[in-house]
Amino acid sequence: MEEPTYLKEINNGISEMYKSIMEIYGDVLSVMGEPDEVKAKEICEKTKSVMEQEEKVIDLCVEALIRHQPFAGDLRAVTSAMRVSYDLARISRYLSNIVQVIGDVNSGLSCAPDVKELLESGWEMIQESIRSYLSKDPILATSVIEEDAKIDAGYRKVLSKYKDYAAGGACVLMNGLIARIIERMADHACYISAETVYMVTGSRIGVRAPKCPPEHHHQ
Amino acid sequence: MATKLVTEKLSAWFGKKQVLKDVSIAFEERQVTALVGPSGCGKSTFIRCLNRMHELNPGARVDGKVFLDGLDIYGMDPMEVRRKIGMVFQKPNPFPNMSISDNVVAGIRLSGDARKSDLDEIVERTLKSVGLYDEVKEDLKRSGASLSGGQQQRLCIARALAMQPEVILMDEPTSSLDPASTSRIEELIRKLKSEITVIIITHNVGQAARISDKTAFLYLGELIEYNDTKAFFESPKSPITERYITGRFG
Ligand SMILES: Nc1ncnc2c1ncn2[C@@H]1O[C@H](COP(=O)(O)OP(=O)(O)OP(=O)(O)O)[C@@H](O)[C@H]1O
Ligand SMILES: [Mg+2]
Repeated sequence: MEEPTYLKEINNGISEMYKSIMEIYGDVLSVMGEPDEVKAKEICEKTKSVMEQEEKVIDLCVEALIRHQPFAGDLRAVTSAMRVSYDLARISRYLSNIVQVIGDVNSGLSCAPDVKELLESGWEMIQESIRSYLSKDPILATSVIEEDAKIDAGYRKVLSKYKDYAAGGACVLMNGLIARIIERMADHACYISAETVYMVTGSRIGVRAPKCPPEHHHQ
Repeated sequence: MATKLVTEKLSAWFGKKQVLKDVSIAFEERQVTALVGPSGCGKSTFIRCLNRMHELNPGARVDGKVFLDGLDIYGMDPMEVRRKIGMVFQKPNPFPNMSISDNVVAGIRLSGDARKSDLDEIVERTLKSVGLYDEVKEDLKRSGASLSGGQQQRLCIARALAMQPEVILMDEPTSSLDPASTSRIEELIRKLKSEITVIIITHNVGQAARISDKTAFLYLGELIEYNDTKAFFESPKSPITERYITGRFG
């Protein structure tokens, strides 16, 4: 089915956001390897421009709703684009948060690689979620959501590794914080994937709801 | 939600040509149901079967059942059916040589069941309910045909309402009206459903989305999809429905 022009424009906007956060990701990796204040500032600026791109996508969506009053798949594509652009903006902010934490804790970075692997797996999920979205592939989207358990496990591994440190210290703090950020980023990859499933099939899978602990039974 | 009007395997013909095929649908009481579908799919024929107008065409035939509150309308007196199930047409058609007030009560006069003293009260109440009273109260004796198109259509709705129908069928009632008259009638339809079951044909899918609780899609004489309006327009089940409502037909 031929896609209307306004949806093409909206998806171009999403692709642009994706390109920007790919750049930011590359910069973050390099700052994790070697602290660099100039690059850190650049990352912050690039993140700001992602926020502007998000505004632009939302504008296009609102205009599409007004002008075209879309229905069915077209309607779902517009509402999903609004959510996905938010998720992408959030991911870019999380990426710049990582750099902030590195700067704020200022631990000399010798312990950063502890979370690098986690970041790479999280990033893998993000890329695939966006790919699933842009290529309208609910199967790929579902596989991303299944991956999330691994990130959650990796996050808990980082926390438990440092839990035993008697005095805590900078590494504990920094890696704990970063691991948490990555875990959140991966959640947004799941949100994007859920939008893919919704946009293509019309059914909602409730991944945005928090994962609550199971109920305690009092004896 | 109670069902008001139910069709079971309703089929209709013009001569040898079958234009409706086994349409089974249950209309809910005091809800607005929109009927959509491409030109010629049988929407008008369908609603004309619901108040026994289709059979008035020479050579026309109906098969299947239509139940109003559980009673088969094809076993009832046709006049009684048309009193309970009123109709508003695409083109406003006030009786041209009748005054505004006579138009409103034309049906009541024909059925001969009202006294003169009641009629003035019915005229006022009904014209108020369609929001026309204030616009015409200075001169209720002027010809119905002297009103604007939007006013004429509201007059025709008033004429149908004066009979106190339980169901009202509307065949593209706003297609010849400007946006302001259209939105007045849409508002009226939303108000009507507190008392009446409304079934409306429209080519304007936006209008169906705005005013209806349920939407049905007819295609080539068959019912393709029938669902709550939100679900119908957000996630239609049939690809044919999807193509129709997103304007990708043909
Ligand atoms: N009086 C008639 N004699 C013969 N065939 C007719 C007659 N009226 C309608 N038809 C045919 O019956 C089919 C259904 O017509 P109908 O008027 O019910 O369609 P519709 O869905 O209301 O279309 P539209 O949206 O254009 O009003 C069409 O193929 C039409 O040509
Ligand atoms: Mg018609």
